[in-house]
Amino acid sequence: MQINKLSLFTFLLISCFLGVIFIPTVSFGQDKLLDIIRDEMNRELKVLSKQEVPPYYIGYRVDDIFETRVEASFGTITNSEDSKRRHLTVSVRTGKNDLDNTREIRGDDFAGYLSMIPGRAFLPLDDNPEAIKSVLWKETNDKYRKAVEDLAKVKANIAVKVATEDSSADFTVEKAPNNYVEPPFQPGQLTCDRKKWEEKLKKYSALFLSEPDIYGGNSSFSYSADRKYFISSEGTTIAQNLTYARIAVSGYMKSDDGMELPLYKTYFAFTEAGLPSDEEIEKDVRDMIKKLKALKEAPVVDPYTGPAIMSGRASGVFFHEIFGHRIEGHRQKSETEGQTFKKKVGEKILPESMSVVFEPEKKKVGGQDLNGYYLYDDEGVKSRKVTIVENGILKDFLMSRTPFQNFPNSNGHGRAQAGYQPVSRQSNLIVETTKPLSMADLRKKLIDECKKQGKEYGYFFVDITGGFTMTGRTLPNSFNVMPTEVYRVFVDGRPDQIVRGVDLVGTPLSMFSEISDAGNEPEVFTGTCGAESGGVPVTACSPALFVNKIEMQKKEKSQDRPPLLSRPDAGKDK
Amino acid sequence: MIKRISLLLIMVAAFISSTVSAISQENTRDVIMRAMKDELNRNMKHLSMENLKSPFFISYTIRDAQMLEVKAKLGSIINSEEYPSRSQSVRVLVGDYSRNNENYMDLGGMGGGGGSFARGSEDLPLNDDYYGIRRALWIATDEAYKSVAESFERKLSAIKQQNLSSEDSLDDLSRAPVVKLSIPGKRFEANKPKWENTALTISKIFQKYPDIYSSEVNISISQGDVYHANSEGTETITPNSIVAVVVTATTQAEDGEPLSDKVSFYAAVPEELPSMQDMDKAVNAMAAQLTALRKAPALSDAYSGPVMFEDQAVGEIFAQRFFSGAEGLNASRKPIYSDPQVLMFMSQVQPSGLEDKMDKKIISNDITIKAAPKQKTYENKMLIGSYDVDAEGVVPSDEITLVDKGMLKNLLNGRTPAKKTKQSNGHKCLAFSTYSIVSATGPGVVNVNVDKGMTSADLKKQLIKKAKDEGLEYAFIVRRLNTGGGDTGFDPSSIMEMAMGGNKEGKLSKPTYISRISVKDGKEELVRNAELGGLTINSLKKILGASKDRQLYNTLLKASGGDFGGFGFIISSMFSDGGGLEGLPTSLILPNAIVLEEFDIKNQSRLITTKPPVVDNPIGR
Repeated sequence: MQINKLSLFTFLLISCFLGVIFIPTVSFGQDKLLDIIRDEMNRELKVLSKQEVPPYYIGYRVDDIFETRVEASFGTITNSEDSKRRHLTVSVRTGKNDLDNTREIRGDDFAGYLSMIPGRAFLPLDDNPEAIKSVLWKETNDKYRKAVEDLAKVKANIAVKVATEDSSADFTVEKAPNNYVEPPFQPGQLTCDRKKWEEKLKKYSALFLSEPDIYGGNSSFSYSADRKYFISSEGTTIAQNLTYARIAVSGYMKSDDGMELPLYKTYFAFTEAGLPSDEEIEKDVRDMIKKLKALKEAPVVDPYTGPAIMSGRASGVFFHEIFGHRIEGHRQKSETEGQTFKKKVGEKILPESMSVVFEPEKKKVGGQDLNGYYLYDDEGVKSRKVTIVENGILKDFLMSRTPFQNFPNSNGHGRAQAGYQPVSRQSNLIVETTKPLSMADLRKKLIDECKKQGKEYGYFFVDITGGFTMTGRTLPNSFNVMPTEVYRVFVDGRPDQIVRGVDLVGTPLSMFSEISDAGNEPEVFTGTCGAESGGVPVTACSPALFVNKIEMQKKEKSQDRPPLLSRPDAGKDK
Repeated sequence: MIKRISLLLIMVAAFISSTVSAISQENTRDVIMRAMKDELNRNMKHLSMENLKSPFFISYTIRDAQMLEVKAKLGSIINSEEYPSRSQSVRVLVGDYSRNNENYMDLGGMGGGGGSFARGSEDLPLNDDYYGIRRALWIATDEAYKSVAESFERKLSAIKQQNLSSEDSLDDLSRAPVVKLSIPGKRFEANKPKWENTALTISKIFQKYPDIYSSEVNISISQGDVYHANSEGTETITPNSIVAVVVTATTQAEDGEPLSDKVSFYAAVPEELPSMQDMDKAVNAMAAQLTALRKAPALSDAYSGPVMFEDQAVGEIFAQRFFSGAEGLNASRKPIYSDPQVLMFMSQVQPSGLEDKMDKKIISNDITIKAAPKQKTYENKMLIGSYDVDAEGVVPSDEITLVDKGMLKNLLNGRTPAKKTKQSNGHKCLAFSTYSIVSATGPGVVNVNVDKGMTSADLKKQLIKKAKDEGLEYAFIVRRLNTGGGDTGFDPSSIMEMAMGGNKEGKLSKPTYISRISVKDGKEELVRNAELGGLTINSLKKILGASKDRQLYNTLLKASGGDFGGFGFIISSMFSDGGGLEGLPTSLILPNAIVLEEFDIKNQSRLITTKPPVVDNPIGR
């Protein structure tokens, strides 16, 4: 089965291992933490390598995060704080690259869930070698013990179960270790004028006071500066700096039938200075209030199937859910996953004019900073552009260091939130077209298709909050995208009508076959994607899409009435 | 597996937050209380839904506090944060005093538990924004009312199908006098650098102890006020502060037994903490003793005979047996259950109280137990358990005799009538809790008096004599029990035990320090791997004696059952990072030592024992 591979892997393994023992303690001068971690790693390896079951790989990740958060509601501050933490995540592998402790134990779902509970180890904030090593030592020991135990379980599991469909290795062998150390953050990058932001947020959220039926009117700001360290026994040393500045505003109204009508707007940039002006945000809040009022009176949509246009933002989320999660490499290996696209490499899955790429090293699209940017992933692999679909043909997958059949290497997409073990995850998803159509052309296509299908109107999805999808084999392989702003586009030329109460649903393969055309203006959706390795920052960037047939289902609805009394400041019910 | 992409704002871990004291305290108090009263009155006047009853009672509680949390390890700061925190809780009752939505359990949303959970979806403002405070209360009241009005109807319908016991027919809420009380509070300066320095200094002690695997110092300060208002007209504002220095350490014996210890210093204000020197001494002693414990012999057999409890262990046996959750001297009320299926989910929730033993002898004639929640000091030390008004706005009496010379006389209770305690005696206590306002029946301050106190030396003689009489080679002295929490590490087998319903009658936590004392020469030897037998209240019927010397034991009671919930506690301790303040502030004043005539001790049977680390500790080598 795996014997022919074994020899090659053993050879590589030995060379890696020698590397391990002789990693010199190079001083990085500017960052003492790296030296301390390397010292302790070498000390651990020296002893552990003599054990009956030695580790063949140890990796340390430190996420040194400075964060500021401010929140406001209806013109008043409800939260304002700074925090600084150093999260430690240790990974220990026993066995060999081609079979190690991380292999899925089939039939043991519980262990799978347990492994998703994040670690909660924190390192001291100063570079005190003794205190840092003490934490590293304890975490390494715990992870090592677990790795030894798990390897035995893996071997027993293999002995009692049928052969796996995919007999590939458990950990890729990458060519050369990476070394990339950015200088530490400048002091100015590790501070934030909270008072300034409190005043801004008060202004934004106070605008919601103008409309008495709005029962929630919030704004929030966060800034975080993450210095991400990665050191492994293979000799990789990374220290990279990432910063994130975010503003969000949200308004909540309820229709008389109890339906929650939330609208959100978020802004993202790498720095505070890159965020939009007060005028722009205030204008958006005013627009939001108008839309909320319109939504409250809007008709509820019945389940529908037929043609639709999705805005660039909606299309981005749509691609992220129905496609992005299904081309994550590690899912192609798990025996519980649906593996929709595993066997479709080289086949046409989208119109010939369309391509889908992931570009983690890209910082901007059309002036918009991209949240899914990073230079090295959480396994110390250099990030790079991955062309998943080229001219409609499926080419590749997003790879972490978990290989699968015919895809033996990582392409820098092993990602995780602090405390979680990395798996293959999305970065900056970019949908491209060689035949861009104007919005007017897309609308014409929509109307033509409606006429053909004998429909009075089609739908236009302008904005969404997010979505989710099931990629497993147990539940139907469906996705759900949750729109907040949907319009009916009438065949007879009447003005568009805002509607409420629907989700966009479907299964990936049938939905993909209905995608017909794309627009000419890419839009960026900035979000945080949650999965088994925690929340990771991503973007989805796409032009608008015209789809011949979509399916809409009724949105889950709160059964609670709107608040019985009016908002206290609205001056009624004295 | 479900993956989500969502807008950033949804990913926010909400912190309930609050005030910066730029505005004078007088002003803050006025604004908060006025907002509470105005919103309360508006809701009482207008809140209604067709075909459902309007509320007959509403109460609001707001805690306004400045928090400080510092965590340090081996001379380094792990985190250090200071932030304002405001939280609220809303209690809405539909029906009347005799029959309302509380004291009822069904699967429809676990309704009517008594307003212990903050339901609010709107955070309180950090500043004294009158309308901001009202908006938060408005949404919370609206949600609470919709839920309880429905659950009240379900309760009425369930009752029609049942034969009610006399307990089920008790009133659901007792009447209580209207109280107007505003007690001025002193705000002390938090001074973060000073506390960081304290944490660093204490945490450095462990640099000298290479046999300790992990140690941590957590300093938590919460200082502020608690506001309470109800629709009966009660309005109270009381100061609410605590300073906690908690030091934990863990290691393993050579055979793998997990060993941990914790030293806690609690005080109502910073000046009341022991001096740096005293804390240093106590922590050094702890580290030295824990180091010694690693080499101590493991207990391998079972023992039955006289046992002396000393120091913290005396405090813990009273805390765990008499004042934990709904056990012991806390009155408890059996709720009405909607149907038998509910019981499957609720077993163990309501242990039986002592209600039926009123005016009967329950423990030794020598023991008298009195609650004195208003007692402010003991030997010039401020008591953290002391309070002037309880979480329901009831002023407790100065002293309540719970057990008089062994005879049960009264039980602690709040406004939920129980079989024998139909009125509140002001003992619904406010717990410290990180994210919400939690209250539970609790003692506050308790005095345990034992007649015929002896000197420690005489007491030890009694212990040895009794053991000799029974033909035993040695007796045992228990000095400290595990109180969990913090970085005490996980004994996986103790989690399993709890998960398997190990909360059996009289179960005490694992002893941290227990010594064998030889009857021949009185020599003491520290042992480990011991498990204590059950200590029921009956176990205290026969005591050999107690010491004349008395001690003050300040603790945050981690009640099992009740509002805290056993499983919830496991979960919260799994995810807690050891900081934070959780539990009912309690001060027990009791003898230094007490000797039980008959008690069981056996070797601990652990389900899982992990091996000690392969690599040597990097500390001190």
